[in-house]
Amino acid sequence: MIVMDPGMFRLMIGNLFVILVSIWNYYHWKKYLIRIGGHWRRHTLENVHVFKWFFSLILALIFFTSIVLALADIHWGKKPVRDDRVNVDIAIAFDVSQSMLADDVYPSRLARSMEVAGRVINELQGYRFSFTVFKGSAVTIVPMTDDKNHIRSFIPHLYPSMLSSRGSNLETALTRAYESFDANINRKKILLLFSDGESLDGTPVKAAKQALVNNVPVFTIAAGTSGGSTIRLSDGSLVQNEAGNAVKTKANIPLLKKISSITGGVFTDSTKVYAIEAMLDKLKSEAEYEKQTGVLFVSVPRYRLFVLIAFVSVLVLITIRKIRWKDAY
Amino acid sequence: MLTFEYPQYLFLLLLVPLYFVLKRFLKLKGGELTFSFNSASCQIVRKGRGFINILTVVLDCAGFSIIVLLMLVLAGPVMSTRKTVYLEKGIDIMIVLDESPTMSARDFPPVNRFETARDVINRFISNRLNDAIGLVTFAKDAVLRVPPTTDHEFLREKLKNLRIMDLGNGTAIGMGIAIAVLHLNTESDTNKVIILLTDGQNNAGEILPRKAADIARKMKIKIYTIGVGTEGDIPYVLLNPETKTEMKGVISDSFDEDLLEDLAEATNGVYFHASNSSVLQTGFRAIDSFETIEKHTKVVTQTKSIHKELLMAVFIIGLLYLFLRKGVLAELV
Repeated sequence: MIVMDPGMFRLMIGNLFVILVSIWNYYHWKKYLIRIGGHWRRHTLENVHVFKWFFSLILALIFFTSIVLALADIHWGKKPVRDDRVNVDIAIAFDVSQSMLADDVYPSRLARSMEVAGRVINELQGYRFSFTVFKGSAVTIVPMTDDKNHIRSFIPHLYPSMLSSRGSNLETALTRAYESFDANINRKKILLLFSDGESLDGTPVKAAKQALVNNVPVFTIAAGTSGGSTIRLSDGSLVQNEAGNAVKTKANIPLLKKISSITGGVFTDSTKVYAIEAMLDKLKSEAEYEKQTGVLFVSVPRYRLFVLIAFVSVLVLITIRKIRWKDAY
Repeated sequence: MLTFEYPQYLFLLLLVPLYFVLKRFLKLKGGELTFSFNSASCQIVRKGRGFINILTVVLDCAGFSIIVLLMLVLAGPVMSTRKTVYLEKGIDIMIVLDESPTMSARDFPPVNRFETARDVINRFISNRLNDAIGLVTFAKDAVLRVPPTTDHEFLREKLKNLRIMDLGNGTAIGMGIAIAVLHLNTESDTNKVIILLTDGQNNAGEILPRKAADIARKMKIKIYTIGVGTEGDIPYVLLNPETKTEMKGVISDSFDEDLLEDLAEATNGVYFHASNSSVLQTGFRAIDSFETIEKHTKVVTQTKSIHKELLMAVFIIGLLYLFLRKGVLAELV
């Protein structure tokens, strides 16, 4: 189950407002019903009043909760849809933040990722690629092309100094890489994210959910370990914080796994040769799979279920309003 | 255009008249207390209180709109647009553009040869939506600016940022063609075309134009050549990008027409002599028509759900309704 817009849950505060207004209304009328009806009918009046008030409150809460859940756009399950796309476009988002210089994988996260990226480009025949590099900002340095020579010429020069921005923003990276896809051509789209998962800004999961909506699986290729290491610059010195201590960076493996899991992609540990092979096989099979079956499995939004609950609760609310006071008057 | 994914739910709208009937029917049976009661003075409110009457009508409408909006949301409202997509990309085109200082000659109004070429190329790109178009520029050196891509916005942006003399003073036609050939050497089996646009004679670079054209011919790449400029002394003005100083002078050299003809002929291309901007444009139009291939397209309907907007309206109206009914009017359930 994926909640596409969890920010909407903040609207649940509306239920508190509903409860407060209802309680005020209850005590307000409890007093005056006796004045209207007289003490001798007190119990009858109170019984009807409590019944109607209580169920009205419950139904109002069900109504508003259902609306909020519908607004949160919850998805679960997959459904098959016809897909006649042929060939594959791959947008590569490549992390060049300073943490990629950490050497917790040999020879460094950056060098390891460059090697894997090179293999991907060399081994996938007939695919088109775009290449986006990112730190705090993201720039597409190669647009969607089948000119592999051009991409190959860039890879050896990937280094943190190629972008002036600071930090690391996976959300911007995924968004920018997605924009490099060509919307005018009917091809399957896949996003490849090479990163250590360290995201100091942005909400990467939000971008992943958008990729899911657009039927773009994100394959994440993790560089680095959860144990982490210090960051060694090209001159041999270590990156230090303001206190003069060496900065230690840890790869955010759970985040990368989550991004691939949400979008139906594959998580790959760049240090494991068999994992890279499996990822390449999976990428190669993407095009073949589509040709063979012509079926794409897309996530199913379930907002209508909650809208239906809200609708029924409104109908019952109307009915409760019609419960007769006749016996009391 | 507003459409519905599950239009069968619109039948629920038939419940609306039924609701009014039931409301009237049940009212007569005593489902509601039909008098207003002022809780402060403990007196029945008399009729004719305009504000309360108006508010009651407004609230009835609000309640009604909540029900109708929910029915519409159940029907899955989407804004749909139709779009034509190409089933496969077209041909690969590499534009090889001269950016030597002579391209600033002012015989192509309103500015110069280079600006006119840039303008014509932009129009050409607009007509080749599914073709992968790349850009190589040359002067003393030659570089690939954009690999063949269908991302034409990227291409336009790079084209816009070109400046005369960024690559020095000279005309390396052979290098320009060679780099274009290198980057057209892709795995795709689509037609490949080079459009060479120059106003000078080859005087720089390690590769001779005829040799580069020979390689192109072997790779079945067609070269269209366009010689730009008029005969005679042409004034030029340009800003040197390195020294930031304005350079002025007169150009009397023209392009090597024989060479351009040979290059085109050797690769089954066509040579054009563009002596003014309209001829240049005609040349590009001709290339556009020569390189027309069958395009397979399909119309897809893209949808954007608007259920969130409607649900947000339901949420806000619902809260206001509850507050006004139970809070302000202090309505008895």
